[in-house]
Amino acid sequence: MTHLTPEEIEVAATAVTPNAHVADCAECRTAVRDAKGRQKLLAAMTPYTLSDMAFRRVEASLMEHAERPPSRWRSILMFAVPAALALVAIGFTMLGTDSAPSIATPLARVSIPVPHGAKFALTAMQTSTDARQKLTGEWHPVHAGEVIARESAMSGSLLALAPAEATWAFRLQGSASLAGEASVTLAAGSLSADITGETADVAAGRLHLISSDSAFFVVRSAAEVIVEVSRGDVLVTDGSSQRRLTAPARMRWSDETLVYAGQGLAMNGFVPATRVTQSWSLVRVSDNDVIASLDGSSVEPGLTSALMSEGSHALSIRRGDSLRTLSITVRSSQPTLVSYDLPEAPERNVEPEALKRLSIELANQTPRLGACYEKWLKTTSPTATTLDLALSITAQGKVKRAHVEGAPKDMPTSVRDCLSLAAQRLVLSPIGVPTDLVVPLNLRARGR
Amino acid sequence: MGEVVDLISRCQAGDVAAFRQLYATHSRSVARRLSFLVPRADVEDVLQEVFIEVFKSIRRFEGKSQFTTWLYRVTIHVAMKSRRKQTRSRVDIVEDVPDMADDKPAPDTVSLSSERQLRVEAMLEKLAPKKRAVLVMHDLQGMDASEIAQILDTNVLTVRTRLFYARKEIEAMAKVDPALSEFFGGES
Repeated sequence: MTHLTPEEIEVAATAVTPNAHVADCAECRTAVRDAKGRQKLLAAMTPYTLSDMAFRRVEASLMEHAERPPSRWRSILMFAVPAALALVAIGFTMLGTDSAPSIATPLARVSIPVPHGAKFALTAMQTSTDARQKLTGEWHPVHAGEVIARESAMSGSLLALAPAEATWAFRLQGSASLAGEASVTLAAGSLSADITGETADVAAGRLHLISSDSAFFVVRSAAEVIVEVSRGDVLVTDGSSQRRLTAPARMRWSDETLVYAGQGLAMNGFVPATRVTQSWSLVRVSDNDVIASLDGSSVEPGLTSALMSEGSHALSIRRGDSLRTLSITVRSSQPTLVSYDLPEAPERNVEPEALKRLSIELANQTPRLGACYEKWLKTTSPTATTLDLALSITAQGKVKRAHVEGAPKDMPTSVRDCLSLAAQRLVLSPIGVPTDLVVPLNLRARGR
Repeated sequence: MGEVVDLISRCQAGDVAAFRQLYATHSRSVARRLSFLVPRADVEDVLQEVFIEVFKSIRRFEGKSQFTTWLYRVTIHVAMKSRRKQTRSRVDIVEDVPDMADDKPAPDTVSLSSERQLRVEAMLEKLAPKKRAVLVMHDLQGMDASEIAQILDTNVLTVRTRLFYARKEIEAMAKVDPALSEFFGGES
């Protein structure tokens, strides 16, 4: 006998008059009955959605996200970092400084004149690696030869200037301000570079490197990297491949793809980018704290300060196991250090009064859980048992998560799931701090 | 139609105001799509993830399909990727549960009691994400197989296969659930 197809079973389950085949086929009858039951069950489900407040919350969060600059820096890093590291190595190898990175790139030493009048004093850097020289948190000019690290008033994670008599080279992570004759303010965005003139502008972003005018590395528009070689040889590492460029030459990447590698320079081909006019300020957290995220984006571990634009920012700060998110407003029109104390993180324990109230509220509402297990319990022996209901409760009293622990092995999964979901509907008063609770339940069947 | 194209173009150009308008226009329909696809407690988080993904990916929208189709495709994929996170520490509260109230009424064809609805939602959570997505879109949201196939970027046969197995799994779970088995005890 040929049975009904799944589609025919679905139709038969909704049909008013019985299917002729079904009358003679027990297997099909069962299938139709199951389909009918399932259809009734699903048809009776009530869709759920969000409250207007929740929609507004999401909107606010999204707008914060949308107003941040696009994060194409991340993708550009995938090839910019190796190239940058290689160029750092080039700079330090040539300079013979003991602060050179451990990457040693064999390069022909070249003699490079110091750009006329360029001091390249830097300000506003913030660092996170070992310090050779610590500053006090002021916006402090940094001169060639200095290595700046954690707790300095800088916006990059590492800054290393090569001795001025050889050339200049620095690597930075984060944002920075340049002062002096190359006075520009670096921020999210891009700037142009002209190493032969009086300026030395570097795009802000995650990682950039300038290593003399023999090997110049510039990131622009978060999408393009150009390495120009005006003198000598430079080894450029791009991912797993290396290429030696002999001046005059240049390489250019766009959207992570090498689009040009060849002879000739086109320094005047750089299009001057829009100067960033937004004001920035350095915000530093207390000594015991680190920044966990800024405006919703994770930051590198151990960060204690960050350069922020004017306006409101969401700053998540970690102190030990505690994580707090603060809303701060940066108003300074000049680069200045903004220090503040993180409010003490709240105790994780609920206040005794709140705990007592919570206990009463749970006692009043746990009967609602009974629908989940009563029928099952009546069929079991013994007719009483215990389990733990683990709840994660928000500060506002909403049960965010719930699950069952220590339940009898024969308790059906559907009962456990029902308990978990029913627990999420408990209505509790605000308790002030997010809390995780384990509520032992003593289950007894009614009338047994 | 032209307004939609204009709005999308502005979003693709990074216009934050346009993105806000896009959210205002589509957020509720996306949230409805997420109903049953993700746990209630996660709808808000997943809705946010969906629009972040839209914001990041809208430049890749080429207009080859309707925008809503593309949007729901993003919605479904984000929903399927979402995972519940459970972390906690322990604070004890001792509480006894008193005797229970009366038995539940018979199956209701209009709407389920909240407890029964919870049980069905729990069963949906147990389905594999792909099966759950197909079952929810087809049996709970009323989409046809070809539309689902387009959203999931698969073929109709695959959709029907997943639907078949998802239905069987739901039936099997519901039949052994004490509160739901009544739905399967009637006439054939």
